[in-house]
Amino acid sequence: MDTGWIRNGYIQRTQGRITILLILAVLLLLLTGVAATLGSYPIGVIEVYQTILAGPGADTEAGTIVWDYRLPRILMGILTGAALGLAGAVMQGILRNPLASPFTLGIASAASFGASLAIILGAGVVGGGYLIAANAFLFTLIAAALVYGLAQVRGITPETMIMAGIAIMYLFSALTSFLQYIGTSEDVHAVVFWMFGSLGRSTWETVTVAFFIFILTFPVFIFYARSINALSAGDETATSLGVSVEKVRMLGMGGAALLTAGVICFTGTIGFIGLVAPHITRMIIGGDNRFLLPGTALMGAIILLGADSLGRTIMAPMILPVGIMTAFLGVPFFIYLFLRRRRDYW
Amino acid sequence: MRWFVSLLLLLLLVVPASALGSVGDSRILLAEGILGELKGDGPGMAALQDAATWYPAYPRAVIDSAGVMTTLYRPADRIIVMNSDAADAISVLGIDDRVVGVGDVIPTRPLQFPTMTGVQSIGKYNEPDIEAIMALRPDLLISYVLWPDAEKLDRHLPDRIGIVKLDFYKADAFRDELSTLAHITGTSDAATEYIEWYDGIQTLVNERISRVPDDERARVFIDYGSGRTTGRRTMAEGTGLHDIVTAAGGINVAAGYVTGYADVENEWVIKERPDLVLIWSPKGGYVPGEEDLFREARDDLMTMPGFGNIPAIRDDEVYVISSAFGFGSSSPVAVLRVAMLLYPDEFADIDFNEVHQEYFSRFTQSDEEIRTLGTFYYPER
Amino acid sequence: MVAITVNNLKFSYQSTQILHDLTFAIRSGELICLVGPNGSGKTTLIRCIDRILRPSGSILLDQRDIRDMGQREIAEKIGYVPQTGSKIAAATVFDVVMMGRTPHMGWRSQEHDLSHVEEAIRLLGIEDLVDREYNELSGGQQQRVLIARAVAQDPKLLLLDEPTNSLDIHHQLEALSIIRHLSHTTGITVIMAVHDLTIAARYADRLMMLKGGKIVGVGTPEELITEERIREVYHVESRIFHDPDVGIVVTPLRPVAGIL
Repeated sequence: MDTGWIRNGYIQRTQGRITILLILAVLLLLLTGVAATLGSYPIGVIEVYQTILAGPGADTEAGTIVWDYRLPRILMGILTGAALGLAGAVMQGILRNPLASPFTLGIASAASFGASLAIILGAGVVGGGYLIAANAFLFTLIAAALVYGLAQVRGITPETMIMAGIAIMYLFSALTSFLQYIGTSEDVHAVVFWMFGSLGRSTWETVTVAFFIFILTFPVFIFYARSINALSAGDETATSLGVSVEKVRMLGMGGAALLTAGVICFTGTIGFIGLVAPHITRMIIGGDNRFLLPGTALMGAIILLGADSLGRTIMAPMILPVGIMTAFLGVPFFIYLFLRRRRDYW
Repeated sequence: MRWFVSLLLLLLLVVPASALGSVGDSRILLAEGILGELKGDGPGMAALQDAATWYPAYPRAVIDSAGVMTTLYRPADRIIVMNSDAADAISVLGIDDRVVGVGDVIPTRPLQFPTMTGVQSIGKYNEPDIEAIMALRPDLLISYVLWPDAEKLDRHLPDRIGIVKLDFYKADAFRDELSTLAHITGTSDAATEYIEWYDGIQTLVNERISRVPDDERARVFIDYGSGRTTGRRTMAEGTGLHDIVTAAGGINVAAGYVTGYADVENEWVIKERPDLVLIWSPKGGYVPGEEDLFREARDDLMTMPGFGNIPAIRDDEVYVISSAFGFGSSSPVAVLRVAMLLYPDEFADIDFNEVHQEYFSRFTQSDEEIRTLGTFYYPER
Repeated sequence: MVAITVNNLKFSYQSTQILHDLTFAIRSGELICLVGPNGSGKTTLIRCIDRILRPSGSILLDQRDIRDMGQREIAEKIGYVPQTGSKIAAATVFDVVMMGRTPHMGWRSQEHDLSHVEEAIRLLGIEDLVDREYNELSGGQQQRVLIARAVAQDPKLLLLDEPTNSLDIHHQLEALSIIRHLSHTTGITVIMAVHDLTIAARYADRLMMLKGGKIVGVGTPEELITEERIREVYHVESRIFHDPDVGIVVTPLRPVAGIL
C-alpha cells in the first residue's frame, strides 16, 4: 500500500522550519547592520560599512570607533542573546517546565554574589580587570555543581533540580544581601548596576572568551537535540527509547550553566531572554529541538541586540542598560501568554 | 521681675529673625531664654546665669544649613566633629584643641588632622554611637545636613547639646558655613582671616581669566573612572569638580548633555575632542605614596582605543585631581591649580607651590612636608 | 524474535518488596499476557524488563543479560507502551511516532526511518490523524499513537502496559488484533499486561498470573483460568464459559470476603 504520502506534512513542516531559520539569520544580519550605525560619533551609513569591510587594521578615527567600540558591543550582544536563549531552551526541555530559564538553578544569584564579593570585598580568584568576571563565572559553576549535588540525593528529576535551584538561589541571595549590608554605598551602587546587565563593557577579549565557550557548547546541544525531544515525552518513555535520562539532564544543566556563565560574567545578569526567546521561537518553529535550539539562539540574539539598540537610542544621551530593557520585555510577554491560551504549547 | 519681662516682650515683637548666620542680639536671646525658662522650656538656670554673668557676648544663636536655629549660652569648649569636612573647618578656625570626640574617619587621617587622631571616636558619620557621644558631655556637635538623620541623632540627645548641621563640602557654601561656625564658637577673627584669603584667591583667578576671550576658553572633560554600565563616568552640574572647572574659567564639555554623575560613551568623548582632561580621584590627598594610583588612572584613560587623537591626550594635558584637594577648605587652591592648568600663560607669574604652602601653614595643623608628601594632583606641571 | 529468560527477579521500592523472586521463560514469538489484580506487580515487572527500573536477579534476552547492554541497545530491541501517556508538548502525531525511531536514528532521519514511521501509522489506522496535534486527540486516539510509536521502534520485543484501557470496544478489538497479527507475522515477542481476563484468554498464547509480586501460575488460558484460581487470586466468584468461536469467557459474579 502506498504510504509515501503520509510523510508529506512532515517534510513540508521541516522545510518550513529550515526556511524560518534562514529568515531569522537574515534578520539578525540586517539588525547587526543597523546597530553598527548607531552611536554618538557621527559616521555615515555607507562609511560604516566601508570601515567594516576594510578590516580592523585601518588607522582612521571612524575605523577605531567602529572596530574598537561598536563591533565588540554588537558581537557581545549577539553572543549573549544566543547563549541565554539557547540555555533557556535547553533548560525548558530537560526540566519539562515552560517557566524554566538559565537562572532557574540559582545562577543569577550566584553570579551576583561573585560580583559582589569582587566589588565590595575585593576578594576573588583572578586579580586585575577580570576580578569581577572571573568571580561571577566561578560562582555560577559552583551553583550548578551544588544543585547537581543536592539533586543527586533524591535522583535527578525535574522536581529535585528545581527545588535544589531554589535553595541555592536563596543561599546566594542571602550572602549577597549580607555583603551589601557591610559595603559602602558606592560599592553597593556598583553591585546594583552590575546586576542590571549591560553590554557597555564589551571588548574583543571578552567577545573571544564568550565565543569560545559558545562554540564548545552549541554543537553538544545540537547533538543531543533528539534526546531532549524524547525527554519531553516523560522520563520513562525517554528511557524506553534508549535515552540516558540522567546523563542528558546533567549534560544539559552543566552545558546551560557553562554557556550562561560564559556571557553573564562579562555582561552582568540579563534576565528574560532565556525565558522569553524559547517561547517565541517555539510559537513559530515548533517544539522539535533540532530546529528550536538553533532558532532560539538566533531569536535570542535578535531580541538582545534589538533591546540594546533601543536602549541606546530611546533616551539618548542616557544609555539604558540592556538588562532593564529586557526586563520590560517580560511584562507584555507574560500578559500575552496569559491571555492567549488557544494552542497548548505546554 | 514682671516689669522687666514685659518690657522685653515688647522689644521682641520688634526684632525680626534673619536667615543663616548670626541671629539676634545676645541680650534678646538671653531674654528669650529666661522667658522659656519661666514657661518651663528653657536651657536651665545654670546656663542662663553663665551667660548673664561670664559671657557678655552670649547667648548666641545661628541657623544652620538645615534651617534649624541653635542657641549656645557659652562658648563651646567640648566639641564633637562627626566627619572630616567638619574637622577641616575646625582646623581652619584653629580650635582643634576643643575637640573631644571625632567621627571614625578622622583617626585614619593622621597627616591631615595630627592633633585630633588621639581623640575618642564616636563611630560612623551616619551611624554614631549615641552613648559614646553622651559620655563625652559635649556642648556642640557638628554633622552633615543629611547624615545621620534625626532619628539616629537628634532624637536621642538632650537639648543642652547644640547640634549644628553644616556640610562644609560644597564649595559655594563653605565660606558662609565657616562664618556660622565661627560665630557660635566665638572665633570670628580666624574666620575673617580665612575668608579674606579665600576671596583674595577667587578675585585673582577671576581677574586673570577675564582676560581670556570666550572663544578661547578651554574645553575640559571630567573623568571619574570607567562608567557604571558603559564608557566613562563624567561629572556635570551639581558636582564638585564641575564647579571647580567652571570657577577656573573652563567649559565642561558634558554640561548641557548630562547632569550630575553620568556614563558617557567612549566614542562621544572622542567626538567632543576636549582640550584638557581632569580625572577626579577619591584617593590621594593627605595619604602619602599614592602617586602610583594616580599614574594608573591616568594611563588607563590615555590608552583607551581611539583616544590618542583627542587633543588633550595628544598634547599630554591629562591631570588627576584628588578629591581631598578639591573639597573643603583647600578648594580655592584647587580652583587656582586648575586655572593655572587651563591658562598657564595668564598665571605665569604665580608660584603655585608658594600659595599651596601658605594654605597649609595658615589654615591647617599639618606638618610642613605634607605638601610634598601627599598627592593632591598629578602630574606636576 | 527473542526469548526472555528471567531468573530470581526481585525488586523493592523504598523498603517495600514489590517483586518476590520471579523466575520464568518466554519463548521467542510468543504473545504472553500478564494478568492479576491491582498491585500484583504487572507494571513493575514490565518496567524491569525494559530496564526502566533496576531489579536484582537476571533478565536475559536470548541469553544476553540486559545488564550488559547499553540503554540504547535495549531500546533498539524492546518497545514500550506505557499505561498512561503524559502530555507531549507541541508535537504532531507524526512527530510522536517518529520519536520511536530515536534509538535508531542519527540526527537526520533516513529514508528507512520515515518508512518505518509510515508503516506503523498505517498499521494502527491513524493516517487521518497524522498532522494533528497529539495533545488534542482523545485518550483512545493517543493510545493508538503510542502503540504506533512502539511499533515504529521496530522492536524484537514489545511490552505493553494495559494498552487498551481508554479504547472503546471497536478500537480495543482492532488494536489487539493488530498486535496479535504483528506477533504472528513478524515473530515479535509480546508481553502485555491486561486487565480483562476474557480478552487475555482470547489473544494470548500463554498467560502469566501474578499476585502480590509472585507468580501464581503460567500456562495456556485453558490451564490457568479456573473458577478456583479466580477465587483465590481475585477474591471473586465467577462463572467460566467456553464458547466454540470466542474461547474462554469469564463472567464475574460477586466478590468474596474474608479469604486471605
